[in-house]
Amino acid sequence: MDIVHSTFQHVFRKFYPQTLFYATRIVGEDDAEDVVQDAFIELWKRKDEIIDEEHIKAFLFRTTYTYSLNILKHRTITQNYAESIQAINIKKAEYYSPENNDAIKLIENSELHNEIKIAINELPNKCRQVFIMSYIHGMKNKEIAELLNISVKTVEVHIYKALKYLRKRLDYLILLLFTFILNQ
Amino acid sequence: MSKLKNKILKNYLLNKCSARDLESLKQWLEESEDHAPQLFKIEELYHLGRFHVTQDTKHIEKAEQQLFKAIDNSKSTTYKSPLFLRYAAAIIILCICSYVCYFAYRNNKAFNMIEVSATAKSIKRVLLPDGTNVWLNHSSILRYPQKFTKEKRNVELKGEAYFEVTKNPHQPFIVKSDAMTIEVLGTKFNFNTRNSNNYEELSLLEGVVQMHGNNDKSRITIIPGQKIILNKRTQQITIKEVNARIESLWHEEMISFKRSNIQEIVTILEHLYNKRINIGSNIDRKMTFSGEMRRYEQIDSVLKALCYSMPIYYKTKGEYIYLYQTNK
Repeated sequence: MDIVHSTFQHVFRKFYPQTLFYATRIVGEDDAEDVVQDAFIELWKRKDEIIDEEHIKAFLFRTTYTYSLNILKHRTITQNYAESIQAINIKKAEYYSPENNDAIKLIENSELHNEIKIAINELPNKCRQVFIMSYIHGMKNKEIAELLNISVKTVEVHIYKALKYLRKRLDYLILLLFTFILNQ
Repeated sequence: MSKLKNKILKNYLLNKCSARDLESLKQWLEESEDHAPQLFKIEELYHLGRFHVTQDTKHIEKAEQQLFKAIDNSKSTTYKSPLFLRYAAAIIILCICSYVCYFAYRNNKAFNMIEVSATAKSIKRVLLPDGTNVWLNHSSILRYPQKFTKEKRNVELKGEAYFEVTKNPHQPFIVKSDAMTIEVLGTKFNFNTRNSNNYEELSLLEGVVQMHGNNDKSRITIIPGQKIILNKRTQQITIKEVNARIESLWHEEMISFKRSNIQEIVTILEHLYNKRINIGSNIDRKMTFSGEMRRYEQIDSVLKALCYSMPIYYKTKGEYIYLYQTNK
């Protein structure tokens, strides 16, 4: 592998996770990979102009955003969404715009990822177990119920409780972070 | 301002919203401009907790292969010129190359070196071909080859830079300045060669580095937390124990604390803002703080943010800043 390829590989490994996460938030899992692939191909084509890391990052996020919006537009035409979903999606796309730095700052804040893990660990035992199975491992409520020998209803209650608790915790985190990092 | 019902939020996060949920969610969003960022921040945080899913190495490798395949395909479709033109081009290129090589040889070293410099006001981050990251402090210059040789990674520095060197035991990374040469395999260190003072300083954050003066072949190895000071006039070398993070603080865009106690926080702030801070006697010195802060221009903004998350408040009296515990 030549030097250009290996530098590019390094850039890819560094930025792929963030960019993929970002794209997934806007277009969902199914289309996110394609969007990110295209963004990196575009970066490859312009590798001679874009050199420093800040620039690369900004370029990737911007390109990913533009491609994602195209997909959303395409979807509104081809699929018959309810008016309410469309309205929500528009607001969501605004939130993730690269001009609004908040969304991207959150992704990059590794301290925050830990804080979330800590918050999850604070949940009461049973509740945490159920929540991790559902949230981290993506298991279905029915599977969890069978495995732990409890009713599906109980599983749902645990998840609800966990989310309620986390919301409170995350609200506090948001307050902390946003008075801290983002605002003056 | 109304609060979004937990039940609806839960359904939204789990993607189980009914048409009625969606309708009330939409209404809630329209109630106030602040509601949208609130909701989407929570949603983002919710998914961030699973961020490691996108960091799965197998997954990344697969995506990487796919990408390089796509790139190589796009290359093979490039236009092919007639054979004789290609030979002609080859001959011309050969001529130019030998010409350039000749001059490069005459000028000895400048061949194929890339030079990056940071202006008097900015800090510049540079990514080298081997993945090493370098932060150049104000008015500093870094020179590195377009391509590293197989045996060594040679760079040259004037001014101050912070290095995070990619590990490669088979290819030492070598930084040369006016007065010394540093050799590392994969480490983090700060190297200050500013000409204004007569010293060159090297402080190590991680790993191991080996150095020798350019006029003296005996080698010295230091470990993290140590700093080498070389007096350019006398060639004398001193080793000191230091807080190496403080030395390289300038390169951090964010000030981050990991379970830092008040003393550690104060030391860092004093260094960053060049102020004196006194810690009140009633402050609980055991309490710690973790988090990241932007490097504001004014220390006031940082202190205000700190007071938000620790039970303290501050007062400024002339040159001094005093921290107190808030009464419970």
